[in-house]
Amino acid sequence: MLLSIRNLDVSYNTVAGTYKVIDSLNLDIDKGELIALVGESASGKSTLGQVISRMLPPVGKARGQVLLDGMDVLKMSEKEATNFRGTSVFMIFQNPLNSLNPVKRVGDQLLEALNVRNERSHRNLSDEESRREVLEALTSVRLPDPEKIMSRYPHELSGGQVQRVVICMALLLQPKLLIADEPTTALDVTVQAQVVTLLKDLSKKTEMSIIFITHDVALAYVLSDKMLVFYAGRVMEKGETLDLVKKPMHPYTAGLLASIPTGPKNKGRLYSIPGSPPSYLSLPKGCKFTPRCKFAFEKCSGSEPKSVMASNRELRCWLYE
Amino acid sequence: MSEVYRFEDIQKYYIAGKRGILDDLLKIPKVYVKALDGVSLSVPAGKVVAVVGESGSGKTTLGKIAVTLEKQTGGKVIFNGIEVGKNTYWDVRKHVDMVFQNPATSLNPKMKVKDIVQESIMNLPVEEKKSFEEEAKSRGISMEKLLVEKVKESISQVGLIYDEVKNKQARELSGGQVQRVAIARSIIKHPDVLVLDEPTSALDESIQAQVLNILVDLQEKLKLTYIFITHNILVARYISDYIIVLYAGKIVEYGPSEEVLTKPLHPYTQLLLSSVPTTESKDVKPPVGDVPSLINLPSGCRFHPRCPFVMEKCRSVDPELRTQGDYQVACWLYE
Ligand SMILES: Nc1ncnc2c1ncn2[C@@H]1O[C@H](COP(=O)(O)OP(=O)(O)OP(=O)(O)O)[C@@H](O)[C@H]1O
Ligand SMILES: Nc1ncnc2c1ncn2[C@@H]1O[C@H](COP(=O)(O)OP(=O)(O)OP(=O)(O)O)[C@@H](O)[C@H]1O
Ligand code: SF4
Ligand SMILES: [Mg+2]
Ligand SMILES: [Mg+2]
Repeated sequence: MLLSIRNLDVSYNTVAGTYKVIDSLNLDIDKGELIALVGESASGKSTLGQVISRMLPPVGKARGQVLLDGMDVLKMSEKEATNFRGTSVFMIFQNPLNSLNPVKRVGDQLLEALNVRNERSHRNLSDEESRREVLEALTSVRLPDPEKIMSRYPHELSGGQVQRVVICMALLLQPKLLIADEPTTALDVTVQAQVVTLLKDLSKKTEMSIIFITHDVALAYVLSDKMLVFYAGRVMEKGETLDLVKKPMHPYTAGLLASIPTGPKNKGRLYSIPGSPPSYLSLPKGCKFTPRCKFAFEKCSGSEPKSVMASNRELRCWLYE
Repeated sequence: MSEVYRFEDIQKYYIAGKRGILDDLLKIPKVYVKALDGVSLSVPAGKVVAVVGESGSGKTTLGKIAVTLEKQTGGKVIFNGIEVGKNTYWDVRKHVDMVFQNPATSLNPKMKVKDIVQESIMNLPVEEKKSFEEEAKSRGISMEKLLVEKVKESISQVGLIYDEVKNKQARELSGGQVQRVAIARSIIKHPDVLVLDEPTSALDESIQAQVLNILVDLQEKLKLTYIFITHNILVARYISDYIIVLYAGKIVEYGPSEEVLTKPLHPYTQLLLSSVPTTESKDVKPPVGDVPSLINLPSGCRFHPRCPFVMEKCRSVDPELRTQGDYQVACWLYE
């Protein structure tokens, strides 16, 4: 097992109060597995990514156990964490500029990334060979004029280009676990398709595991083997992607899938889940989805369901207890 | 079918980069970005026309020209039979409006919702405000009262509860709510045509569904014409009657949406569609290569360097947009 998370709780301490955004989460990921995290905005997806990569800001507190690549993520020292990021795990941030150093040229940053991998796997490359490898990686993410891009600073690139540079950095680092937080939102569908294909190939070749964070269910479907559906900081449903998308079991997953447009408007209005996502400061009692759920019954607003296994699915819903 | 808009051979060339006085003195030739390069198009009244294409293909530019925010550098725009120009801007502006890409940044975050919506009438020139003043007079109510009524009406038309949101600031609203306020701000002027620039791309699926439903209802109830800009093909398919596919500043395909999406003729449209992730297939098949530079366009067909069917002719001669019934395609395969 590459990653194993047990009973993870994460809260933020803010002026408005302390609130828990991840609640008793368990997750195992094997070498080479492709996992997608989907869910609405503010459901806690990025927070989980930050915990695993030891990038949670100081206002966040994580409790529980996170074991990655044999290391105890929540207990390691800052020094250990520095080496850990980049070798064991690399995170592509939702805002890609956060992943790059603003005062260093793109080329130098990519060469550094390649060096981290070379040291780790005892590869001996000449400067010329390293440079060629970086150029190849830049070409593979479809950046035109890679030579020019290497001599630029991050702020001299467009949003889509920065995003591709960061993806390129992941290609060079080849971490054991790549966490990609909405890496394609700034990209065109055509480039997105190219990047997705690239990441899948890389994972196959190097047994790199990927956690892919997105709110685009169709994209998650194309990319992943397993899917986790987040709602209000809870994993409501987890299962094999193919299976889960074809036969959603949790009412939230079903609602989410039904709201994707699939045909023309004369086939009828789109389904949309009634109501709006709850605020963490005043979460409903019981199941957090109760106020919006069309199957809700008495028990649902009474107490919160625990995660249970049903037909090869992990579900958090009283319908399956 | 009556048409609201006719675009005739529209060009929009921007000057690339800043020019200093030296550039002019030394007669350094100007370099142009060809954002639109010969776009001809007829927009039918009361229909939804979706404009799709990659980033930089000219979608927003086309929308801005339609609402007179930008002036074309070549070609003609005919709106309801009138040629659009300096003297006729307001003939267009009172009938059309644009909802901008990314309302979270285009609306003032500290302004109250009711003021945001009302402002769009207040910003009209004096002559245009007259029709509202006349309405107030004929009904024997004050202008203030009429405005409150109108604001209330348009806010409820987008599915928001007036009393709940009227005093909130834009920054206190969710993404879907902000988007609906931006739409309310446009429909309060009773436009006939709305240009909607990526109105749902910043939203989650379930909120996107809400906004799309509201847009469809409004369009049917108020008999609006939409020019709906999006890069989301599934959204385009849902909302539109016709689809325009833009590639590097040119229309490559235009036709009834279901036809364009189920039997695309142009090789670019085919590749664009196969890049879209769906829950039908685990594979995406993107085109090779990159969007061309708009400064130095490829010779001949501008798609030829990426086209899997490229022929000799494609490299040298640019195919015209050819019409067959209500379908148009620009590709040598169909000559
Ligand atoms: N540094 C922080 N301090 C305080 N609260 C935070 C912080 N980061 C995130 N939050 C809150 O935690 C919740 C979960 O946020 P998170 O960014 O994990 O959501 P997400 O699922 O990634 O959403 P999105 O799809 O919009 O990126 C939100 O309510 C957010 O406001
Ligand atoms: N004011 C301007 N000055 C110079 N070039 C411009 C200007 N506005 C747009 N352009 C260029 O014109 C081209 C078309 O831009 P436009 O905004 O219409 O594209 P778009 O299809 O809306 O793209 P997106 O999907 O990214 O919004 C782009 O190459 C853009 O950089
Ligand atoms: S004209 Fe030629 S190059 Fe252009 S799309 Fe058609 S076949 Fe391809
Ligand atoms: Mg996030
Ligand atoms: Mg645009």
